Amino acid sequence: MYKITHVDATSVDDAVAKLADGSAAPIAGGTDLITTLKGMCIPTPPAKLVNLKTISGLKYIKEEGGMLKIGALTTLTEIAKSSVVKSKYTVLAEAAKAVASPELRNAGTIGGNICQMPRCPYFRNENNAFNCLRKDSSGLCYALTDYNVKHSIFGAASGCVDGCPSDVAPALVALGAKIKTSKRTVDAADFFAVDGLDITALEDGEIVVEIQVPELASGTKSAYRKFAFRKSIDFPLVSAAVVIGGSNASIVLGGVYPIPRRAAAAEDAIKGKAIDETSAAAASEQATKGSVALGQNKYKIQIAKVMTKRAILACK
Amino acid sequence: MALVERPEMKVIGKLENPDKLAYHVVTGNADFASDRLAGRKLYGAIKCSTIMKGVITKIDATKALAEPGVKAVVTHEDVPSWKEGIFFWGQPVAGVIADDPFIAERACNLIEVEYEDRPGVFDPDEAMKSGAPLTGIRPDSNTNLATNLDRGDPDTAIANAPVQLETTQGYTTTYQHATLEPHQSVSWWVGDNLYSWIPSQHIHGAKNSVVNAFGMPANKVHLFTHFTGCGHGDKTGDNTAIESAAMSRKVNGAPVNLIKTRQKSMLTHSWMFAIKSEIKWGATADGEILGVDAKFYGDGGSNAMAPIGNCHFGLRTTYDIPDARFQVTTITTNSPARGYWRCVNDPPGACNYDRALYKLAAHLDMDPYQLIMKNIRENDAPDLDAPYRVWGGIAVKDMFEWLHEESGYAGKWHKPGEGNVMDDGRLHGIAITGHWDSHGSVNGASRGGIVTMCPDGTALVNVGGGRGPSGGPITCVHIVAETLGMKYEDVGLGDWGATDTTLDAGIQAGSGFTSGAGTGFLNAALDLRGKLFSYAIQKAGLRDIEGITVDDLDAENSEVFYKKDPTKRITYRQVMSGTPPLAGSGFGWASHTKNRAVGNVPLGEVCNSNGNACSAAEVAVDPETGEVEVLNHWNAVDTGRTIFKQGTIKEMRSGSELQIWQALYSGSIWDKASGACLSSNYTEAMMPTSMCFKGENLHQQDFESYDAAGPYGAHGIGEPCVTNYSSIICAIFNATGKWVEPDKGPCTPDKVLKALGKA
Repeated sequence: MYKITHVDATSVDDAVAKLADGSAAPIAGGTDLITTLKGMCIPTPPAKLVNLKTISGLKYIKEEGGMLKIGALTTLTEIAKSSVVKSKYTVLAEAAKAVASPELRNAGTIGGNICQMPRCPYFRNENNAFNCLRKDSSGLCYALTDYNVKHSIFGAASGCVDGCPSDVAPALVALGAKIKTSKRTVDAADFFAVDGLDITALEDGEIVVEIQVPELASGTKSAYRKFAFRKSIDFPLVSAAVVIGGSNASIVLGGVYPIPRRAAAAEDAIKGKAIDETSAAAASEQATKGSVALGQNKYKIQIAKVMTKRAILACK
Repeated sequence: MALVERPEMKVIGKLENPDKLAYHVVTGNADFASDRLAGRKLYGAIKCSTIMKGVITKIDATKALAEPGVKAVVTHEDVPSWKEGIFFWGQPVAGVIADDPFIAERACNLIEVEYEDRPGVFDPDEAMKSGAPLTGIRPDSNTNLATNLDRGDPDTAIANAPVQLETTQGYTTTYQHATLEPHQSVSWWVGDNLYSWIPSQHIHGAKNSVVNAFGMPANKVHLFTHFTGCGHGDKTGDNTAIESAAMSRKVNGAPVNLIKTRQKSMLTHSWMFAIKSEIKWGATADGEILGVDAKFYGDGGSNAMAPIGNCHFGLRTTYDIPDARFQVTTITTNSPARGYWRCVNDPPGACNYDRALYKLAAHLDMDPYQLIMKNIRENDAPDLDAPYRVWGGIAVKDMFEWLHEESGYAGKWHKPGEGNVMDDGRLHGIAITGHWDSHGSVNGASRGGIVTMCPDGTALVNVGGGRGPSGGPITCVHIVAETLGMKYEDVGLGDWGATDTTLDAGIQAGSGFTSGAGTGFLNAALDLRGKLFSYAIQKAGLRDIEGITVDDLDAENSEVFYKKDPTKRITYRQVMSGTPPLAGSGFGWASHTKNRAVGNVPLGEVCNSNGNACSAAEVAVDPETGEVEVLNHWNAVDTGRTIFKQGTIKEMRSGSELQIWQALYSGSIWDKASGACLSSNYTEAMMPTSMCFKGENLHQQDFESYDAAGPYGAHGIGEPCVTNYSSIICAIFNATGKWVEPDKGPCTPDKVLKALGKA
């Protein structure tokens, strides 16, 4: 464990101020960050953790102004159990429920879930054993040439072939959500980016404040399907978030690329069609268009098709 | 079935007798090694190598020593169990002693180690090739023919057989322990005496390791153990006592608590080994096996002595094959040491020969159960290759038959991959496997026990082992209570695992502990009983009986009574009133041969002491995703005699879970280029959680066959009940008609899809 000081933030502004010197990192549920720090797997660890949980008013789920608003400190359990989320934004409730285990969902927040660091075992190897390019721009992607069972099937993003570890992220992109930060409001589709240690476009000192999901058109249905080797607790190897309503369809894959991956060809294939086994299968075939397996993960192409088909059928 | 009539037991086998230890573990009251000497000790941490093969050329600890709170650094020059040569990625190369464990861990990263990198070999198949680099673990070869046994003339038998089949089975899974407690110890020196608290399944064995490492007199090494956060074979050896003792010596004997992180615990302690095989069959068209030529190859990693050589045991002993060859080659590779994991040989061995048997059945177009039953040895059959032994597989055949009935196999089995699509589109499969296990016996050296009687008439069982795997010690409590005629609640656990005050009870594991230590405590209780009775006849209530002798007495419910008039009785408390402190000691022996019919085994009587077990698995395979669900799993275990009923049920239930774990979850991932382990954590090692199992789908049955070698007819069940994970892999074959290769890991969906041609 690194030597770290821990300070409480009293407000968003206070948190931003305390994060300003660049040597600090925000912490909420801590379920991702603490394991990273204990494993000492990042070369320049934060000297200080700024506790966001002491900020009041960032834990809520409410419908307001034609949108669903979720405070960044809302736990995944609260989202999974929310009647409004379950009934109107099913894909998000199912994605939240798919995260890890009950204990971790009780602690983990939606803000933290979309700001996870990569799960690649090279990145996570204790004591920074591999000079991974996500940590050091002069490093290598070791997964490209060796162990890559769990990695990208759509090539590299900025040289990295990790799979997006967040369950919630593809659901938010599929829902057309926006991420309100301490500085701006960003489309979820633009929020996720391969940027060094992070999977987000957040700048230093910038924190997530709120998730905003636009109200869905009447009759819209949505679903999330996840595949992992270990069903009871694991990160997604492949996931599919599907939102279908009227002539619109949004299909976003998780686990198959370092960040959520929109399956545009699959969306086009299912838009305006009646959902049945045939149309779902045809669309799911398009979901992996452009995919290229690495040496050990060809199976993920098959799984991505199946998860997409099952998620589409769940929207029937 | 070799069931014999036995008198009703008062304590043994009673379901209502609780586990005296488990509650303390789950409520956090158990005391572990690192709980010792809080507030007045230093902490140690280790640094591991980042190459797989080479030699250390320089260690610069300047930066580490400059860190506030760092007291000292140790290297292979200080720690007798460490080496200058590097044989696997993750090998300990240095250690730090500091004021707190986090400083020590961080300072390890400041130690600069330079190596001379030398060619190594990580892959066992590469290691076996002519011209492969030497791993350096054995001086002149990467392989060793550990077993080479011929029975009859297998070559001729196979050549003349109407049906011949050559099978190959790929490597079984290799994986690390999932023990609750990472490796740790607290050591300190008082003058030239060493004291150490460690978590240990075999504290006396650990003491021997320490004595040998430091070249010390045995009476100057004092080791202690209480609770261990699970054993399963992980807590054998010295359990870091040598490392922490060396660290303590470096700081003038101050107490040092070495705590290994989960990663370092996994890297530096033993793994289950992977085994592959080439098995050639000769048989008749209707399934009589006439000959077998079985060659097994096991990757021992950096352990030249990896206990792989007996992996053929179940094939050799369970089936009547007149002509046979069994060869086991152990391989060394530059990877972490393989060794004890829920014992050793049988799980990966059975996963090889069972797959080969099922392939033979498919080749013969037979139901594999019928093939098994056509060739299985009768209950009580003696060892074919060691006729001087009187032991035999006692109830294997009975268990196969029970599983066949209980699982509804006859109505569920179908030809592999045919006519088995379930309503939800998944593929149904079922299989039964079983074996006579190479473990469960006392294994060689004698095992001892001491029972002490307290002044208030309660007794203490002083077990020379740890408190982690509680089945063994609680079994001894049952044996002592039964033998002394005491209430279960009146017999407690005494000073566990203090080497100064206990006898060597052997490795505390389910396989051998019941037979060895159990017999030791049976004899210790008999010894104490004799002493107690001799005092009892001197006490008021019994001494007035004319001509009374100890032979006239018996005991029940913690009272001693006169057999001819049971109303004349006194309590053990009354017996102990005014009586000097009493203890009994006894030993259990290996007692398998006609020439060494010692202990409680009558000369020539059939005994076993080994375990036997069978399992059936019913699975559903999703052909779209490759996911496997175990719908039902049955675990039948021959206990000989069930002593600790709750513990036995628990063991069988966890045995089912461990079988599912081995078949579908447990694995390891590696960077093959560097030999680095990428799964030395619970996430990547895919440890299953309780939510991976459905208790209502796991079924257990103990078989009481009676084993003359064991205490009250019992024998060990630890390894046997986890062995038959081949039942799950064979059931996947029954479901899909395709063999899923574990490829040194679990049968994960990617491998299932590959077998189905979808990946």
